Amino acid sequence: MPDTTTSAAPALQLDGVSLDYRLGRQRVRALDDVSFSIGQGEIVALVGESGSGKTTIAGAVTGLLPRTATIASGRILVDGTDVTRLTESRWSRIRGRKVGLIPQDPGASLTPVLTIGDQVAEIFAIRGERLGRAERRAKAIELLEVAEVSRAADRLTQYPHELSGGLKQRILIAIAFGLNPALLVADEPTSALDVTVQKQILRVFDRLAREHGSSVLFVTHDLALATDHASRALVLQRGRLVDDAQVSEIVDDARVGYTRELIAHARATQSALPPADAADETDAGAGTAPGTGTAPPALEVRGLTRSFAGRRGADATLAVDDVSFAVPAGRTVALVGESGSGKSTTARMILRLVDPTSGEVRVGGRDVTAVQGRDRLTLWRTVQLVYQNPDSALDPRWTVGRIVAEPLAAMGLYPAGERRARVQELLDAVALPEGTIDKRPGELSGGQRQRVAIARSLAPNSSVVVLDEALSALDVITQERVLQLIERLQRQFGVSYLFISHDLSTVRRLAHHVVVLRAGRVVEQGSAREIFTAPRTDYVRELLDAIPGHRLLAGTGSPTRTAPNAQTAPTAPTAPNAQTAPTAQTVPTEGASPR
Amino acid sequence: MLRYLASRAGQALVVLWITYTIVFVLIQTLPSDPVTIFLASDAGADQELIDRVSALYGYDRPWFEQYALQLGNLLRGEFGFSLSTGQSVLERIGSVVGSTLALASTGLLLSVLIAIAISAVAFLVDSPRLRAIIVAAPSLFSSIPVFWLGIVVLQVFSFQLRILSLFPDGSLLSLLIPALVLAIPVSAPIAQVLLTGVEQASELAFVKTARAKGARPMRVFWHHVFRSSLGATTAVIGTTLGVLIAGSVITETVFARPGLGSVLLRAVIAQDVPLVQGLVFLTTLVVVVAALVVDLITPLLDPRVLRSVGTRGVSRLGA
Repeated sequence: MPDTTTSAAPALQLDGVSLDYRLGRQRVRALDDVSFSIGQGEIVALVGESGSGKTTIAGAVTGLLPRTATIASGRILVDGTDVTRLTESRWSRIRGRKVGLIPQDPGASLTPVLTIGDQVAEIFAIRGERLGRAERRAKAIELLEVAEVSRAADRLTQYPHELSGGLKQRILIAIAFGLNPALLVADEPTSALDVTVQKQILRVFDRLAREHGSSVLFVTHDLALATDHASRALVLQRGRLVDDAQVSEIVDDARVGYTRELIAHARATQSALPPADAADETDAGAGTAPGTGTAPPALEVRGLTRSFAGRRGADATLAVDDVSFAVPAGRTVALVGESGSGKSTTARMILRLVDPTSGEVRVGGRDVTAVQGRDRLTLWRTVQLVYQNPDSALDPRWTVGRIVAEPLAAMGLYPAGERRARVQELLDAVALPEGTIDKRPGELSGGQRQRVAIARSLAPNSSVVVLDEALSALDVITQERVLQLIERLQRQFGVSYLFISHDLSTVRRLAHHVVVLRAGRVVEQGSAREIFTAPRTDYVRELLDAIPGHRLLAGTGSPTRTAPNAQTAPTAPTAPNAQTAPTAQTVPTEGASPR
Repeated sequence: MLRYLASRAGQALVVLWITYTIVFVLIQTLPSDPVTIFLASDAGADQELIDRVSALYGYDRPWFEQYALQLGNLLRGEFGFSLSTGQSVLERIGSVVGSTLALASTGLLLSVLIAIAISAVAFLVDSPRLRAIIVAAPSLFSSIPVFWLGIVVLQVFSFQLRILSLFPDGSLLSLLIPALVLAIPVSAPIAQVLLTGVEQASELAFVKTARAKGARPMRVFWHHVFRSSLGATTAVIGTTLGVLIAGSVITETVFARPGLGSVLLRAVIAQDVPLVQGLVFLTTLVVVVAALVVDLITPLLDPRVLRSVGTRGVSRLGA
């Protein structure tokens, strides 16, 4: 490693950094007087809601901010080098050597037209190593193997689109550690991945960081993840650093109000017991015995199967294989599984957007499996869908009023003159502020947009709402607020939910009944209480175990309590200078901190 | 795939038929008649000779018969003989086509190089002001008429600097300068599409990864940004081929180069119907086929398409 500067310098130091974005003629402050430092070998989490400025810090530290960003004041030192105002060409000499990046979205972060081999071997060319073909190949394979990429030699000739998200992230990790920079910035490295994949990836990441003695800035919105993997946490709120403390301190008793709030939210979702439900305890609504109750369930599927023809005579694949469950009226059933488990295909068959190969779909006791064409409108009066991404589900050119009224117009419900009143009633129900009706999606926050989508789904007085990963794109606190809204709407209107999610902590919070899918088949289903407290299958146990936040739940009793000056928490590597550097450099911003 | 090819071939036939019809109508509406012009210089030409030649070429028949007759001949590949020289049309075209192809292909190559240079500089330059100037260049280029630029270049290089002979002398310079004149307007649409492609690609996450690796801006451009924005660019090259041929004809005339341009010009003046029809038909055919080839190649530049179209035997690049 070309570490010619003194190793005593902190890996990263920010002194009173303020940063603006140019927006037309305006300047918007994204960071306000942020100061912190990261010692050599330290793993520090940077936590905050979306819009708090975490990604801006990650960009400023790696020189990857958009052109509209300008550092108004303060300075940034990476491994002792001032990088506050560098040209792109100067930055290219810092990156890779002194600072590396593990990007947020593995799916889009590898060049689609180059093979994996080309992209891994590129780092040798960048470092100016002249290697022979065989040598380059061997070294590339070695790097991939260290990051636990399966069949590493075969991967070299593959293109990114041929690999899964988890594999791509391992490859990106291999590239980042292959360069071995003094500081690694991991920007939400697993937010696009399933929990089980996330767990494996972070295990590899933790091990490599330990072996390399890397300093890490771990940017995440997930406090549970932060406390599991970092020794220290920086908390950002609206561009200001409000807390800078050891994870052990935060977990036991956070001194800053905002941090306490975040911890409380995270813990609530982690430890919340599933909603108590007498009906489920007696298993009346469970899909294993469909239709045992007197009233028919709001939604029921029996033996639902969908096969997709294989290419070039290959065997047909079963995306959904004999799935049966029921959603009782006024209850929430969660459909859980990793990506590719058949959750979304099931949802699309229920909405009759995809034809089932076999099986049946019943809504309120009526068989709707054969409903075709325009007749589906009557089905959609009862069953509605809320998508994951409110940005693409709402037409940006339409006003909120028109968006929410659209199903009414399409189905000819309510006289045209009364529609606006109905829309206002719905917007009030989802607690959107006055005047939202005339705004456009672009003027709303992510959480507000999702509220609009929920309002639209309730517009035709639907009794079943399919929430397809409806909370996944939102940050924790917004997620919590939308969760509360969903629960309230259920109490108020008796709506039934089919809640599709890969995130078990929100499922635990919301669902009465859980159906776990794996590779198109139901591996286990039962009341949420059973699934979360006494899972019967290994697969479900594994899934539960992968949920981050063990340290958060373990709470008190952390050994660092007795040694308040030690800067390294138990999980951090014991680099020789880890004790001294951070204490000398840490200058917390006191403005917003009530310490 | 076969279905796609069949539909594209059908489209090509329609294009050929339309261009033939347009040329036919234009020639028919001219006030003079080709045979009279042809024999005007011949003092001994009497009405009988005119009638005989007209009958030979079928010009004495009603227009719809001529229309069908000439179209049928073209489709059979019988291009006939030039009215003005008596040479076979194919022979006449064959004697000059090489010169035009040299000019057109050099022009195309230069226009692609200009487009790449513009997009590379736009990507690499730090100063926003300089970038704005470079990005505006293609719009300027597309509004420069070829004949005007050609005359200006001749004026400067031949009359003032005296480094270029007024007539082509076979030197490299006498090919490069007309080719450059031709390339400038042709490069404009290519550069515009490439610039957009580069701009969009540079916002993508994988470019961030490449930059984060510590790759120099040059490397980021060539290996990641440029390669990813090639698709739309090759597609637009297909659509510039027509402009390229039209530009070649004008450039040849301005620089007094032998080629299809001068032949076409003389054929039109002499109302040499078989030669004009043959020229238009063949150049249209070349443009249509070349555009189809470009369209077929374009998707293959993307490995995502290549892997699904190709068989398992497709060569794979290793590390």
